Amino acid sequence: MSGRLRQTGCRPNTAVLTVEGVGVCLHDGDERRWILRDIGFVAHAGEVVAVCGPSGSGKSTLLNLVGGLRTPEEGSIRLDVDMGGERVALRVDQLSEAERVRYRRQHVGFIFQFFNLLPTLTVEENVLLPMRLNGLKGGSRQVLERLALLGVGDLSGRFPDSLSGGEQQRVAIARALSHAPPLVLADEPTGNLDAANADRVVECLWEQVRDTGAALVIATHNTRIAERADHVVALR
Amino acid sequence: MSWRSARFGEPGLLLLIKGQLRYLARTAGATAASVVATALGTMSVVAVHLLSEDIKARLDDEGALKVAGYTHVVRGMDLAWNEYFDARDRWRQGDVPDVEAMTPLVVGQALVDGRSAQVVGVDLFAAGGSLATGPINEDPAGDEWTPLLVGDGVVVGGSPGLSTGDRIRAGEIEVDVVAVTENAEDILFADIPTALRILDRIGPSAILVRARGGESAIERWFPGSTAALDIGTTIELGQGLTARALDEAEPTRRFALAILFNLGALGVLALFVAAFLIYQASFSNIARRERERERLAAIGVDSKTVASMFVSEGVLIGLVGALIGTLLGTVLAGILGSTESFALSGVAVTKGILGGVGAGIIGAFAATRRASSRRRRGGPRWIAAGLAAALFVIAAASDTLAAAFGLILALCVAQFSLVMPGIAAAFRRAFAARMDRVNLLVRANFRRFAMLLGEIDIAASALSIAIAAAIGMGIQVENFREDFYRLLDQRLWPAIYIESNHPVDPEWLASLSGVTDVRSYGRTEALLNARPVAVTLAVGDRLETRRYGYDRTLASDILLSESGALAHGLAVGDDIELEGPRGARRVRVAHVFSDYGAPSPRVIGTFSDLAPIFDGVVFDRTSVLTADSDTGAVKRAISRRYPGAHVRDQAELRALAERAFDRTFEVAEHLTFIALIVAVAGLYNALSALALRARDIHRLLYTAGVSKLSIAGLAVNQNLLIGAVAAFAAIPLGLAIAYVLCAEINPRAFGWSIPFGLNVPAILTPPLLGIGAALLAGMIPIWRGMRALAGAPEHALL
Repeated sequence: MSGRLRQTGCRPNTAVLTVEGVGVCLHDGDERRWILRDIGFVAHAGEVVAVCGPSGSGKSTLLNLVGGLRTPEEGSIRLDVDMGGERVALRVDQLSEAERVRYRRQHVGFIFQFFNLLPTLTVEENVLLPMRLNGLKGGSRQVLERLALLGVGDLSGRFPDSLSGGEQQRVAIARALSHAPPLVLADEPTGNLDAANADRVVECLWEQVRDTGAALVIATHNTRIAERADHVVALR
Repeated sequence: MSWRSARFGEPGLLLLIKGQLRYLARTAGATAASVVATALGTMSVVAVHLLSEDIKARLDDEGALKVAGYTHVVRGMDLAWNEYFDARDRWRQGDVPDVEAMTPLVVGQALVDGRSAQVVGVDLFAAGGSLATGPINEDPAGDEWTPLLVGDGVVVGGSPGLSTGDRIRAGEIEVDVVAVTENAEDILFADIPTALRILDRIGPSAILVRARGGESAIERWFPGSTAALDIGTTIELGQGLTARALDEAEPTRRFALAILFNLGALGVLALFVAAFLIYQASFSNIARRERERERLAAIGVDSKTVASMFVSEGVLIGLVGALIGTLLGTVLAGILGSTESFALSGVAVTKGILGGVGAGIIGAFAATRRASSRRRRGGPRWIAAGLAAALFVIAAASDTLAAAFGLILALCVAQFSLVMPGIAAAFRRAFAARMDRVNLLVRANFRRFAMLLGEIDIAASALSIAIAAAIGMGIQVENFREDFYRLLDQRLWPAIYIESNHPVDPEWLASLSGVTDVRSYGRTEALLNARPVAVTLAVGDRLETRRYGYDRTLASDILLSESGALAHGLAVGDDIELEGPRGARRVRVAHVFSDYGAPSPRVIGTFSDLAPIFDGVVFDRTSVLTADSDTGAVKRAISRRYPGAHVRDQAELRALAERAFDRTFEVAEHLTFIALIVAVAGLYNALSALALRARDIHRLLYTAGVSKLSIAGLAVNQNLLIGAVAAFAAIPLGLAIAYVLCAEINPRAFGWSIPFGLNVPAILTPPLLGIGAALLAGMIPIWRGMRALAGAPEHALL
């Protein structure tokens, strides 16, 4: 699989995500209410970090921070990536709005609980979208192969609203990985699926992440997923 | 408890209503948009109604024959008193049940205190004191004249220097001025015997008749709407006396009614657009609540309760919007109308509130049904299309004015029921293709645009119809203007025109330095086929006839205006009989000329041929032809000698005519503009609702690394495309409307035809305005959407 990616111009990932002493608070007048405080973890290429905790513990907020959708009040988030053969440390918490947009586009793949495929694009087009956003041409064959690996190869010409939930989530996984990002963020990817479909999706996700060498941070309630992860960040 | 009876209990319903009110308050912007949309729709309905009422009131208040309540008139040059008394006997004996009141009338022209004035003799006792002749001096109502017109007492209007108590010369006798009215110009009201003596007449000029039933309910609710219907145009009074509807007997009144009807038709168009708008406002309001509906359904609230919640919300928004709209409409009518302020009219208020609330309820009900159904309902659309086709066929087969407007209505219904949905479906099919060469984001955007167009097709249709109406009216006005200016070039000599009630001395005028020719014109009235026709007596040489597009000398033939030819079915070469007070004359129609702005059929003949059948011809207009360089000096000399006369040169008259032209179409242009604003407000409303639904997609793109600017750009493109589709779909409809207005409605309503030509600015300006307006309408929803993207990460997808 990594060989195929090399053909599309992507390298095997060697990134490292480092989160140190991160805190997020809400301001209520002069008062501050901390949603997250002093969170830290490291995720190496090909590793899976499970973020666990009850509802309202800040799992999604942590993913928002790592994904550059929000900046922390304290602490740092760093992603070490290879850029043009050079090792570059991106301080996600210090990026400007425009830089965060570029960071998400180039270095992060997102998988959502409710799939969030674009309804007006076909399955193939949805998967091609991150590549096109990054200016990568071609890649249709690789996309079809990845879809086939995920068991949805015969659905490439269909629109999302004609797919089942499990099928949509497998397409979403293909989309998150299509531009070979060093970091993949997944928020309850099985939360909207039945047990059989959830198992299948988890299997696909693990396989794809290991293949591409991306670091995966996954927010979940599912203890079976947490048990399979390399590291667990427990939030309260 | 059985499942069947398990309904939401009252406390539950109260909770739902509480939640609903909180929702409306929390989403104040969107709620306000719905209220504003309803208010604008209602405003246009109320404003058009009040303007129509205003025009109608002016119509009934002015002039001698435009008498309030009187609906019909019998006219004849040789009408005798015994004919009136016989008719009155038959009426009193109940032989003419259609008549409610009857009164004789004497009308003629005479010199009053040295000025030419219209003399009107009325029998106020017979008229029941109800002649709406307007205020005398300060305030007294018309019926207070009754005791005044005794003996030789007269009421005069528009005669400077005259006051109550003066004894003046009127015609051949002396009379006493008992009151002065400021409501009419150059007019004298007298008792019938006095008027007969002033005019040296024997018989009455006319018998006024009031038909039983008076104004119809349709006319009260839609002023001007019955002007084009041939209902009760004649009443037979027996023994060969036929009372004709005032509109038909009085071409000036018919002209004004035709304008009124046009305005009324525009009002129906405004109502049409407003109904769409209020419907769309309701629909959009409910569409944005899709998730709420699903949650309510999930906790077991039955669909009827959900529907009733949203319908009651429609009533609330409709009521508030309608009240605001009624006030705004009243203010707007005050600005556009002739009077400084309008009182609230009961009918207009009822119409506005019923319209606002009614369309709100229907919109909410239909939208709840449509939104709750995943499958698109095509049934009502096909029914509307079928009705449009039937209306088109029926209207095309008829030659009435109403039928011509029916054609336009059919085309508009087809636009929203067939054309716009057809375009949306075509785009959906076209963009569902792979489009490999097109950028993925653009591809997704095109497909979403096609989907949106299908969802807001009603708002887009309303915008399209409003743009089409603007195109149609714009082309009509421009064609009319071009033809009118051509007519002015032809009709206006480089001369000085004198209008004076005092006789001017032609010999003195001819003796002025630089004057090359002096021509006097006599004006009078004759009957043609028992209907009045204005007669202008002139020198019939080629210099004169060229002004009317005829290049030969007149002898015993005449020139006839186009409205006269249309009204009487006459053409060049036909022989007609003109009936004057002193006899009749058979003449041939030599030429038919355009006579814009002069609604009365008009005949132009020579002094030598026609003067013998008239008495009391008023020579009140004179043309003085000069060498260009001497015009100023001649004008000054004339003004010095005749200070009371209107002395104007070619440029002034042209400016006057152009001003009159612009004034005539001002109201129509304002109303078209209102329709456009109303349509854009509807589009704003629809786009606001859709922007809420587009947020998930925008957040996804934002999360995937697409900048806010690019996302906003995509949204702007969608709005641009929607505006462009509505605008370009409007062009064929606009051209069709323009053709019907020029070739069908104008000849049927006003009696003259306008050559149909394409005017590029008139065709392109409204669509460009519409596209710009659609862009503007979408800006606020887009801006709010972009703010929501950045400002609320807790709402993001993750």
